[in-house]
Amino acid sequence: MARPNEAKNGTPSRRLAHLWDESRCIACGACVLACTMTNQPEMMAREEKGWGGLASNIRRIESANEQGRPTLLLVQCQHCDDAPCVRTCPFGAVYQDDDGLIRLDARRCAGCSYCVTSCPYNVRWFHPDTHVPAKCMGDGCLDLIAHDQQPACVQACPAMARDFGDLNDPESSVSETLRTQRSRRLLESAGTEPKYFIVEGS
Amino acid sequence: MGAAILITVNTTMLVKESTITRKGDSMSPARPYPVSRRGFLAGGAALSVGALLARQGWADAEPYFRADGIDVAGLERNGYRIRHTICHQCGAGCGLTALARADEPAGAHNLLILPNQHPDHPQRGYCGRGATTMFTWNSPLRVKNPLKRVGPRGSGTFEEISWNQALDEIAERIKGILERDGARALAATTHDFATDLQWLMWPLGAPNIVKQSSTCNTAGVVGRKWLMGKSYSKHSTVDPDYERVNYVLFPGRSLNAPMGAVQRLAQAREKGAKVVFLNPAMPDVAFANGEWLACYPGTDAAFMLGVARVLVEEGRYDATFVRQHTNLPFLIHEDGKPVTEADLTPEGSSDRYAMWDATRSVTVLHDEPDANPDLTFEGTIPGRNGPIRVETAWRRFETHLADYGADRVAEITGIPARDVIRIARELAEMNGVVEDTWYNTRNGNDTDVIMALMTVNGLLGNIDQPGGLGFKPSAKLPGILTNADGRATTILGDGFDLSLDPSVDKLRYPETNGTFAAVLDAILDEDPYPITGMILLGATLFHRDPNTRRLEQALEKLELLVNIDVVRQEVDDWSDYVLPSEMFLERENVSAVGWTLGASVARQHRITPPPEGVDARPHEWIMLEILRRIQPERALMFGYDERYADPEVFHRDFLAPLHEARIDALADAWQRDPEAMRTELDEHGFVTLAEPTFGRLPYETPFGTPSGRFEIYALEPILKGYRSDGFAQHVAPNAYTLPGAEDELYLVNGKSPIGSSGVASMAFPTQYLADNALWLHPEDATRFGLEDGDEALIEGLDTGWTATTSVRVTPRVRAGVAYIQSYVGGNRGSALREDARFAKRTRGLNPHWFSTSTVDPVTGSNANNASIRIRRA
Repeated sequence: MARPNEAKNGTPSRRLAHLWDESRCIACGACVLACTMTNQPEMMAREEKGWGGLASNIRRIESANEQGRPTLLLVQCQHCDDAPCVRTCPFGAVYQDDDGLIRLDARRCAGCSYCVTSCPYNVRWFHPDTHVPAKCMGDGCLDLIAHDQQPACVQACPAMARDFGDLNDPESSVSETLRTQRSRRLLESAGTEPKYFIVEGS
Repeated sequence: MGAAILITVNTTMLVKESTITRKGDSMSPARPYPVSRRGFLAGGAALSVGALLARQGWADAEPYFRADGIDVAGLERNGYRIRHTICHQCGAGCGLTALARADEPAGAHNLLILPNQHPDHPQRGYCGRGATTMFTWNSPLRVKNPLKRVGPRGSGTFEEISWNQALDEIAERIKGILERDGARALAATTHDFATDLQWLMWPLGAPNIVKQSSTCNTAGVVGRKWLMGKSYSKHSTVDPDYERVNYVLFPGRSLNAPMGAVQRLAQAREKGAKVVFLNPAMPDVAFANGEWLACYPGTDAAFMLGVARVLVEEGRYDATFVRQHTNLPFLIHEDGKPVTEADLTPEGSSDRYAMWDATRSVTVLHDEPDANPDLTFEGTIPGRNGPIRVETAWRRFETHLADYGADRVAEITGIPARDVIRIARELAEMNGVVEDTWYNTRNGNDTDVIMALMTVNGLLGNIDQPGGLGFKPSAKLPGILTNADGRATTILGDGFDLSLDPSVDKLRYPETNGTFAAVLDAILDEDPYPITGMILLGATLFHRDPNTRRLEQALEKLELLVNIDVVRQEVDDWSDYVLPSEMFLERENVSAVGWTLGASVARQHRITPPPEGVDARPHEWIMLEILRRIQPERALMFGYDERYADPEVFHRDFLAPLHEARIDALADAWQRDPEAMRTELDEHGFVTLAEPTFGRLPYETPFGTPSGRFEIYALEPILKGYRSDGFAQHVAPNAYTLPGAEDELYLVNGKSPIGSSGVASMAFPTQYLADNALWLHPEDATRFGLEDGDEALIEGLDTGWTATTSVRVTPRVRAGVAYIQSYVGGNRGSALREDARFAKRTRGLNPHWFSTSTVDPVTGSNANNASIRIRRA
């Protein structure tokens, strides 16, 4: 049973990556809301009980740095090149597709939660109807990408704090940004090779 | 529930050369100034909605959404209908566009609400409030039919009745009030719809349409007026030129709307602008490389005067602007009054102010063009009745600022002295500007805050320049109703002679632009006369008005309370009748676009009828139908009679011609072709009438102050006898008891871009997005033994109100202060209690449970902040 957009020889053709520019983000929540509206509109009227809020594939985490100053982190699936969830899924339901995105083939998913527990970024939530773990990219955003459009979060951001594109393409805007601006990735020490870049500004 | 809603914001802004003018040297005429609006993301994504259109089954619409806007004709050829409107989920008025299939009515399954797609729309984009538009439209909390209270006030027990029964009974009860107590005994209040209330109140001769500006912008409006004059000389609003600022300081504002301003500021930040927030709680937008100065509540004036002192002491002020365009060179009597020509010569004018000429060593008048004013003169000048001892306002200013050394300011504000000095230097070196604030009635001392921040702007001299403080020109859009020269008329000329008494708040608070507390006084104390009936139109009293207990007492005493709203509100429970009104998606209008430095007008089309089962009616229709039942002859003078009893006929034959007449008059005012203007409004949703222009005020056009100058030494309150000294000063917050004991905190509140409005807070997803916890600083939380998510018991120091709430421990609020988001907590309405799905909306705190009804006796400014006692629940 072929999985959607599966890489033909095991190596993705593209390495699509998310950029979040923390120096531009105004914490307005537009991306969080857009994600739910686009990917699980049926959850706009329901609470996601696991995280106690809106069922979005983007989590907003506020904390403080060592100096006690407030910090903001928007976390979502990192689409790791060496994703633990892919390796731990007993059913081959979680896989990296030809765009380098980590996807879930719901037909194969047994709801065992191994992918949930193996993810160091804690980015999945359980859909209360399907009981299948959900995360970025949702079906709506996959549709957008299939039509050569940006994901909902990128389109919604009024502060131009988000971008999405192919790391394999040196001409892409994400490659250009990563060449010219400081950035970091989360939990580099986990060795997962995440493709979610936090741009720190120039 | 509802249609799929799409959030899209065009990420490509077209590179465009616009011609604006700027100030040259201080006395030169305005001249063209080229400014490039460069794009945000080079090669960024073009507008793309196609895939979501495909998911809606509308893939054939995709080619007509382009980076430069929408091809409306193309969409129409393919069976779609585009309609534009502006968002009314708050007062910002961002542009929205609706797409629907033309072959069936727009509605739950045939409607996409998008931000306006045109790249030049001045307020393009929507926040969480706008994004939940359809959830408000289709909310289970929509008022579906007229309701009549059948239980005691506050019980929330209603029966549904017909429109005719409701209107007949309301009209009869109003008639009784008019006959017994007179027209002034009927009051009305609203947030956005004062004109709609006028259809009823004016013909009845009822003067009391009283908005509640006093818990929003009164302090700012008065403070700006005292330094810049009424309406800033025909320029309706003032704002920083966000698009071009180098440095902007926001005292007490979070700028999460309107979206055009948010985007323009983001654009400036992209070019390196620094953004600083002075606020007890850190605004969301400060995460974007903003600096947050965590002050104590109500200390902004001290901070600003500390900044002013540094600017003066270090010579970092704009000396040319100060000499030529402020009144600091004016000579002042020892009693604080200005020296005028009338003091100097027998026929002298009291409107011409004296200065000392440094070149000629003589007294000169402020409007003499070749004067060389001496800032530092002190001495005796010859007057008409003998020598006058004088000194310049500047010298008095230096003395005044002696109280605001950085160390003392640090003690008052909690902001380190080094930061006070640094911010002053940065403002001067980066040609900065201080934002003029909006939702600013907080602590009872707020007018001085506005005066103080405008004082800093006056010293910086960054006035009416690119990147400085700019002035919005009037759009010249005529009102649908006017009351001028003793006659009330519609835009079509129907009307009658009318002379209205001053409203009750103006009698008590001479400078106010709307103090609803005066209405409550009239209800409760019959002072200066009794008010016994009230109409609410889109007015969420319990989340708008301070001192909930007093509000309840007033509502309890009213003989008649009618609430007209889109969704069920807490105040319904106190109302005799609740009438369903049309939401903005269901209404036609033409509005000036706000909060920009250009002039533009937006069209609001009727996007959709109300959802099935909701029998909502137009505001104007409700007013005129009540009027027709009370005084049919007056309704007829407006051209209204029973022909329009059908709301659809009313929309088509009564309202539409009025709006079309406004467009005709607008086109005439700008010498444009009205049909071309209509086409542009229909196609794009807006029409731009004037680009931002700089270099006018006060260089070519004087301010509306007594002297025409930027009056850092505010003359108006001195001349009117309100003050003996014209300078801003810091006084401790006087609207509430200051916290002192170990378990006491300030309680402040503010808005979030999600849910902080009367209607958006009732959109279903709001409860899962908005935060209705009480924010506590980690130090305070530790002191009280509270952790994130714990329940705390709160007691108002002044009101004694007690409530429990969950707490959020966060460094985003300064120690000693607790914070809550306004509108999203503490809703006690019965409609929420009856629907378990809205359980979250009933939790949290309403800040007005704890705030007092203290009102400034001159400005009528009220206060939103309070003080509380807290312990673990």
